[in-house]
Amino acid sequence: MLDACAPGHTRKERDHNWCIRFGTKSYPSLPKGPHGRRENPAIQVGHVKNMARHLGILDCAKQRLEGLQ
Amino acid sequence: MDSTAKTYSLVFSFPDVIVGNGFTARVELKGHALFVQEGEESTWLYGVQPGAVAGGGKDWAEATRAFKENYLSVLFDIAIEAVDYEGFKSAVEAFFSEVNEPNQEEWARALDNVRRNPDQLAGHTTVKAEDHPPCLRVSMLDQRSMNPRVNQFDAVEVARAAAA
Repeated sequence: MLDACAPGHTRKERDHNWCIRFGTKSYPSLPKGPHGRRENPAIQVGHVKNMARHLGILDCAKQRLEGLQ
Repeated sequence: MDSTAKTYSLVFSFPDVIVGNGFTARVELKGHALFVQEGEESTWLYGVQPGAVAGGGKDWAEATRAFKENYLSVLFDIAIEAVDYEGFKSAVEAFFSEVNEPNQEEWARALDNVRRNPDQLAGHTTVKAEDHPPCLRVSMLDQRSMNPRVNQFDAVEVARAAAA
């Protein structure tokens, strides 16, 4: 999704999160590891939705990820 | 945002002590967030400022706990990367300064909705939004500044508009 909606973005793995940078915006809180595994997958969708809003790519992201509709 | 979702404007205060590489810092952050009830068992807090933080769960308690955990995990990541206090402070300030603009618009709409329909918050403890602007203070703790007054509780409260 990020490759299609945020061309030129960078992603860096940190201890707890992925840090995504796109244009002038940073999203340093996309969970990985124990923070990213939950029983209810809907719980994870909110993180992706918030990141897409923050980076200004929500419309594009909605076309690619069903859970964001 | 789902037009059927129940949305409220929140203000929060997180006073924390973070240990970094050779320093101990106090991070006092007052921020804004959106509370969104998206379904029977899906409740989310979305950051407005700082905008890059979120947390969800089946109810208010789970969502606020997850929001705080996600927030702290960013501070922990920054603490690991920063080689010194100045680098830590600068990175935390950059994180705080980023506003989630769509969430900010939604926060203002939710506040306006409360202004027009104040009864919807009957029974809830609320605070005036204008008394709680987002702000951040990062300071280094040393032998003199380490005292029990540093210990404070988190607060997450529903905001109301001045006229409500």
